[in-house]
Amino acid sequence: MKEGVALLKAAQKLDEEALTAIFDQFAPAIYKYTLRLCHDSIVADNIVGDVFAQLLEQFGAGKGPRTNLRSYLYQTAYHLVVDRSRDNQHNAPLEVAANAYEGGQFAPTQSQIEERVMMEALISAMNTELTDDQRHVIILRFLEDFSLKETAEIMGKEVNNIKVIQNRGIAKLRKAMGLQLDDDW
Amino acid sequence: MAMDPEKQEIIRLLIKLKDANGAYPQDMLAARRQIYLKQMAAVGQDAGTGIKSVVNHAKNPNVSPITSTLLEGALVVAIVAEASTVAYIYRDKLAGLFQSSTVTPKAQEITSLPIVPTSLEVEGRTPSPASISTFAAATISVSPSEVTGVPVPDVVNPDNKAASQVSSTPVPNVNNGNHYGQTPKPARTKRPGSNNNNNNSKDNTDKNPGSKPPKNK
Repeated sequence: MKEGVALLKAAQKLDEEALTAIFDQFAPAIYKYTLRLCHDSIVADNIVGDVFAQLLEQFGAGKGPRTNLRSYLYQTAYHLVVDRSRDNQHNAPLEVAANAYEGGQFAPTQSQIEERVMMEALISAMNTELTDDQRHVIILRFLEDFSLKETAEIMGKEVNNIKVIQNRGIAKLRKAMGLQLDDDW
Repeated sequence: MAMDPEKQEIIRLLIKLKDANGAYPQDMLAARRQIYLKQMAAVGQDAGTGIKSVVNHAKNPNVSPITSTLLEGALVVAIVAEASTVAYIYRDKLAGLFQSSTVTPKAQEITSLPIVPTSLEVEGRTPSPASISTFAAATISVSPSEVTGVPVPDVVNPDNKAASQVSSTPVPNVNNGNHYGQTPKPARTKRPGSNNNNNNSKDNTDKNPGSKPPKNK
């Protein structure tokens, strides 16, 4: 499979193998990222379709990304999610995290139970306490492993601005989880 | 710079959350992939024939924007000239079509009212000739617009046939008797300048011998 720039160059020439490889490589990640933001598998699937349809359209018109394909795809998904989130309400699906800790576990230990409670509190806080920008930055930075610069590119903001948003988001999460844990215990 | 342990804990949890379940369901992924492959084939065809060539021509530096504007203007002028030539050649047909579309003939149907056995015969009375002639000569012109109930503005009929076909009720020229409304007025017995009643007028005539004819004794 072609990698990096070579893959992008081939895709710009509408090479079928390269375009298929791009879909296979990035579609699951884009789906996961979108699902974290919109919490609806159908919507996430539709957004994945829109992202790759736009990519094909751009390549067909001789445009599209020149350097960082991954950032470009996440940026397109981010804009689509923002557009849709204006109409839809966010609902926090706790099962997204809960399923990860139920699979393959026979009898959870005390520490695992505590960690699961903390994960649920974290997801709940992310969905209820954070602003949209803070949630996006946290997801892109810590769940999708983008750098500050890439996150700034995707969101169309300055790097310093991203840093501020990230720090405020983490502070809010810490505060919310501390309060929730105090309530629980 | 040392990081707050609580903050580190949050970041550790966030990184763990990265591995949380959220995989693309296989059926959805397969369906999406099929759609993507179809779109890819369509874009490839378009780009291979039409779009790609247009894009390449658009990027051609030999064709300047002024040239393209002039070319577009020339095309518009050619289209207008062609349309006007065709309109001039077929002007008679176009005029006929225009007239036929604007002036629609007003269909008229003349029907006579059926003479209903009147209640006059049932009651043993003889119907008056006026009513008979009215029934016999009554005509109604019905236009399609009146049938449908849609009000249509008056259209001037150039032949004015409708006016000649419609006949009104003739005025009776015979004495029909004293029917209601046709009773002759009684002769006027009172002078126009007098305000008195009959008795007073009688008294006045008695007191005014000059107005009486002389008695012949």
